[in-house]
Amino acid sequence: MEEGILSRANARLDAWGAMMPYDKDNRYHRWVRTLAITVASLIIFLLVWWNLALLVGSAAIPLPMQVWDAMIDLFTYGDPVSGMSMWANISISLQRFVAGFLLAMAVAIPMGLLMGYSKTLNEFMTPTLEILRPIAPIAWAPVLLFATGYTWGPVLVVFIGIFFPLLSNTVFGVNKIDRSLVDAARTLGASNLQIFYKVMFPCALPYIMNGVRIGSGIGWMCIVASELYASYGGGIGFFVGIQASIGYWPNVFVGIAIIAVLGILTTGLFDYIHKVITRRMGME
Amino acid sequence: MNVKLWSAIIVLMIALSASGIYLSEQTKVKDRAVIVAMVNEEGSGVFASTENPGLTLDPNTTESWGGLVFATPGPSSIQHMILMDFVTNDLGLKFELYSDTKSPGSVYWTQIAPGSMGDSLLAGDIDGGIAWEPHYSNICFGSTYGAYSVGSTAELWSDHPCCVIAASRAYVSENPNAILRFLAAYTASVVWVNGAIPEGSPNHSELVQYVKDNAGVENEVVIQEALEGVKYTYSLENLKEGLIRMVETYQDLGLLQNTLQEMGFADAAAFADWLVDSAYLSAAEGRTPESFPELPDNIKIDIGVLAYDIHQIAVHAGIGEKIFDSYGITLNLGTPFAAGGNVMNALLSGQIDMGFLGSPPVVLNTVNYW
Repeated sequence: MEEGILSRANARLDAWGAMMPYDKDNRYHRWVRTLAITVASLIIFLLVWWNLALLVGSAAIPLPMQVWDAMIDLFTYGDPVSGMSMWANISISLQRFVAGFLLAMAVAIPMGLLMGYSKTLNEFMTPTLEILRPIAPIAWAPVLLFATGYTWGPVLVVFIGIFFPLLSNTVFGVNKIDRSLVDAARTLGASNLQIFYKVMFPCALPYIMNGVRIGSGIGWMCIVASELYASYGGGIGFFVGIQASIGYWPNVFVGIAIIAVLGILTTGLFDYIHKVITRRMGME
Repeated sequence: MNVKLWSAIIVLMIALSASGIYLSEQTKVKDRAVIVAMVNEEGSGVFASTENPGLTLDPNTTESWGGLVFATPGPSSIQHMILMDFVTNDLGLKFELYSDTKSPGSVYWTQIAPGSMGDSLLAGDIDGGIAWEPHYSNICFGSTYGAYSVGSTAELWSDHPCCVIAASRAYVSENPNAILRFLAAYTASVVWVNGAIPEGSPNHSELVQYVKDNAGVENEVVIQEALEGVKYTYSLENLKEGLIRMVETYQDLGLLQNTLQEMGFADAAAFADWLVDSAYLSAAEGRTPESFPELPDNIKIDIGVLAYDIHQIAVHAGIGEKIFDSYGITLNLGTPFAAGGNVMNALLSGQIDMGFLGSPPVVLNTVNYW
């Protein structure tokens, strides 16, 4: 009986499927499919969140609608605690992130290229780096904040977060370079400097971008953690900490959602650049 | 088109919607907090760097204050509220979060844990701050930080409320005997502390040792200054008036997510009446251990305290002097909390039965958690 119902339902579904053929070579079909899957995924996410919030019954897990209302209020009137607008909080976190990120690039990429190029330098640097690498960057937050002040402290925490994945990937990228390319350049009369920036850097670039992509995700974790300690000029981490201390949980969730969006945007951007570079380098 | 997959997704959506509707119709009773005793009044102070000499709490010194950056323990602290009140109402300046630019028309605040304010002052990150004891005395009288005392908070608000003991309402109603015994032991501990504060009193050295062990200060000059700056009291007499002022201030600032009317209170006074229950304290005060009926076992209470806070020294002294033991109470202090907001979150989520914390986090979290 049950088997009969299931097989009839199966046949009906197959018939419906046949009425709506999907052509994977059709760009419009692909676009509609991606959109439908994304929307369905988000709806299910919101429904699961709604159910969990009701099931747990804690104000610390607000309902999606409460968070939506809080978001509208915050972007309209700003944060009542600090008097700052949400855009100002986002802007200050972004500035810290970008400063730490640029600093990490300026130090880790040349250092990684040199370490990949020179075995002696690599051997010399490795013991120190291996001692520092396992330390979670967030553990440096209180130290750096008080040692270097509230302006540079958060920037340096982001720097540490991005530095190690970027350095490792750069060294790895240089080590993966086909030695015959270096030899060919040398045979054609290239100087050491020319080999460095005409062969090694371009060849290592896809790996460097991979490091940037990984580092950017860690960088966001670091900026939020360091802002939880310090409050010069606010920032999203500071906003989340303050709202939690006064029990404004929907606002905390707004902060978390903003961090997620900023993280997705930055990693998405680096992902795109990484894809473009690997495609141009023929490494797909 | 994978119709089977899409059918499954639609079925899942319908099931989740149905369960959500069902769950939202179930009424779940939330636990609330109730204040059962006071811990201390006053006990905080304002300090400034010696590079900005001559600051006082005189309202006619507006020009000296403009453009300075002061550290506070955060917007949910009574210290923040007192400094904000002084700056905006007495000095007539704005009280703004510091973000690089300074104007003589504002005093700026930045959030720093009191234990780190001295280092921030030395590093030149701040011009001064407001902190609870023993940090205030440590920064001013510890002769390490290049700071001086601008004044105590008692000068700005005499008998102002500070720390309180909040309990879970569910725990209180289910364990009235535990609350009574706890409060009887706590009031006896406060009496012991007050008797030990004067130098030369019989228990003074023990009290100093409790401070060294629990408040993170070693300098005995600082310890004495700090102990004398705190008004240790369990009496709830002045609290309601302070809570009303607190609620009205927070309402004006837009820090309360729910209105008192939405919560079912006519005004701040009605809310304060509901939040404070002095009946247990009245019934427990002065009772001896022998006045309680014998219990088969010790009563264990999970209690939250703040880290390195001299305001709460009576609980540590009560444990050390076995006062709680004599009333059949075993306190599980667990790991001390960094801030009062964390104690309230632990209390309302059922991780602890009672907690020592500032009165502002009780107000803010109660209203916002409603």
